[in-house]
Amino acid sequence: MSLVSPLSITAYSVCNALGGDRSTVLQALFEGRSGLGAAPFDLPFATVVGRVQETLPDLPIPLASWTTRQARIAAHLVTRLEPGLARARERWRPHRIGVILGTSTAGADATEQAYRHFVEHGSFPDDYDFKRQHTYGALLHVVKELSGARGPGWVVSTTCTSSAKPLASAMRLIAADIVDAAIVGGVDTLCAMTLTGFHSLGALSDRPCQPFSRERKGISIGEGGAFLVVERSGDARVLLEGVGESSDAYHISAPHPEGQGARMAMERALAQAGCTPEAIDAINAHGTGTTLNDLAEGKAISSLFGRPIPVVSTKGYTGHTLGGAGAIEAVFAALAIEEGWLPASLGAGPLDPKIPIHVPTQVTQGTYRRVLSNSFAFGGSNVSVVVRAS
Amino acid sequence: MTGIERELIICGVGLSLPGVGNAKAWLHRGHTEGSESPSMPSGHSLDKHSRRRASPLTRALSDAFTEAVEQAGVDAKTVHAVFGSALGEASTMVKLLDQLWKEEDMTPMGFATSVPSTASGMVSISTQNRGFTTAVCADYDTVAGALMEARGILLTTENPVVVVCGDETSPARFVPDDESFDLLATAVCLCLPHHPWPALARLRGPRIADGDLPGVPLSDRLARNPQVCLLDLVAHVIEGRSGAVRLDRGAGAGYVVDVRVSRPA
Repeated sequence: MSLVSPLSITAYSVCNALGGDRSTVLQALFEGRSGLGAAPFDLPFATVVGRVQETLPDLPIPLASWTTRQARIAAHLVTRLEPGLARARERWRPHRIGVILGTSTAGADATEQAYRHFVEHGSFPDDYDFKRQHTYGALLHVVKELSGARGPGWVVSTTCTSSAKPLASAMRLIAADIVDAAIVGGVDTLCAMTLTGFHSLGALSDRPCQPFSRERKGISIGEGGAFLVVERSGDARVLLEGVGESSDAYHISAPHPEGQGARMAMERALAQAGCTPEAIDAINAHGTGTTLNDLAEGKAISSLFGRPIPVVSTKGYTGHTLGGAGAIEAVFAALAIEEGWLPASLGAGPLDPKIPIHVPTQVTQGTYRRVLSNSFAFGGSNVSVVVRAS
Repeated sequence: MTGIERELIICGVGLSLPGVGNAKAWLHRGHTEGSESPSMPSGHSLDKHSRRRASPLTRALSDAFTEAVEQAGVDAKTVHAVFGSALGEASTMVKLLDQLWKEEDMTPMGFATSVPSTASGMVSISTQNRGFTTAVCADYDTVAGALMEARGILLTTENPVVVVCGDETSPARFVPDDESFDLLATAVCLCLPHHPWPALARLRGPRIADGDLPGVPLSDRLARNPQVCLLDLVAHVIEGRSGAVRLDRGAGAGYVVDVRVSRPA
């Protein structure tokens, strides 16, 4: 029996290449409109990226020295979250609201530009501050200051599961009566180092990614994030019901070929939610568009569910937002429940016949009471999240 | 009683300090630090493939993890693990930046091991641990955050958890010399009072508290390591001292834990 209870998702905010608010993002998903486009860097290889186009706020003056693109996206997300946050602050004492966030890049884009300055001029720019702009804890500081939450906090950095794991942490902290509510989620930003790194791994596509397609060539990287307010109780249309975590124990940068760890994470999420595979109505796949990842995830889903459940990857819209993906896609799972439709799995056609799952290539109307969302990462870190209608 | 007030058991400790080796050797030496030419952490429990690619930080974290797990007698294949580091693999990242701006080819393995969860991944691969591991960062409150995450895992899964915190200094170009520090990784293995593993000490917290609580006397270079307070906690355990232990040496939010030693490690 699970020792954790479902949490109310009382507010969320999202920002990625599709837009910076719920309705804009929803519209793009419904219309099948991708946010992928040209990379904002000179790179010696071809690729496309999902860049946030939203006008981002400046940080308040007391936080000015913490300014990075990541911090500004975070500030945008906190602002969008504020009505829900205000209710949470009224309901719970500030030190009983935790802040658990994720990032894989932290302030790497700021460090990358500062380092270029160092190489060219022999010194860092005057406004560059390694501790306040590069470190992983910087995101935590900025969000705590902007949100008024004063409970325990930390940043998870497990690459592409970074912003999914905070959902698990929050469930545990609330179940253990350490906090009553938490701000969870994460943000990553584009940088040349990440793009070059994925290119070096042979994992980057030179055109918009095509998850689950037989013509897929790899990942398109994106940026953005999402924050959610989860509470012990409260008015919410969607509940966070279970989170499963596992390790592949297989390879530092490749998935287990049969998706063993992925399946284990999904099983654990279902166990925590107290439901069987039959109770899941749809899956938001990790679906990055690499040959190995999609095949392994497809095998894991097929072996566990054994029926043609709809499986959608949203990476074709936003790109793979890495440390922001888990939270963004948990929000997408919640949207499916709230709106009663699943977006098309953009770029999936022609489907790969070797991947034995049902991937809708059109918007699918339906009643989605319970949706599972997957995130998998370097080092064999796997997370599955179950959300359901309240 | 809230979850933070429930008593946990420390059933194993581990330490990797170049030139010293492990926690027992450190105690035996009376807290003195390494030899004048500190050795690279061995990373002996990493598989050969991982060890060859592991940074000094990942090796140190792995060594501390292994010592704590072996002392506790918990199963390395199933124990959960929380790895804490404020800076992560910063030196590996700087190598990548050098490659980027010199327009050299980036090494794929260098990229894959430049992330803070490198130790978490390599340890899970080497021990065949399919439970789950995680990697957390919170500047000078990383130890407090890691202990809080471990407490949540322990109270909801009832499986033992190893907390391993360590940092290697920021690359020289990024911080002045008087802010650089020595490599250190420290570990504690935690379980619940009804578990069968040996109770070295009982732990409550972290909680916020005012007041000065001096840590173990150390060189300035070691004392500046953001994770040094887990060493302060381990020192209490291996020396049989009960009391409150500050988790940030004044640089963080002011978290402390309360330790009641059952028997010296």
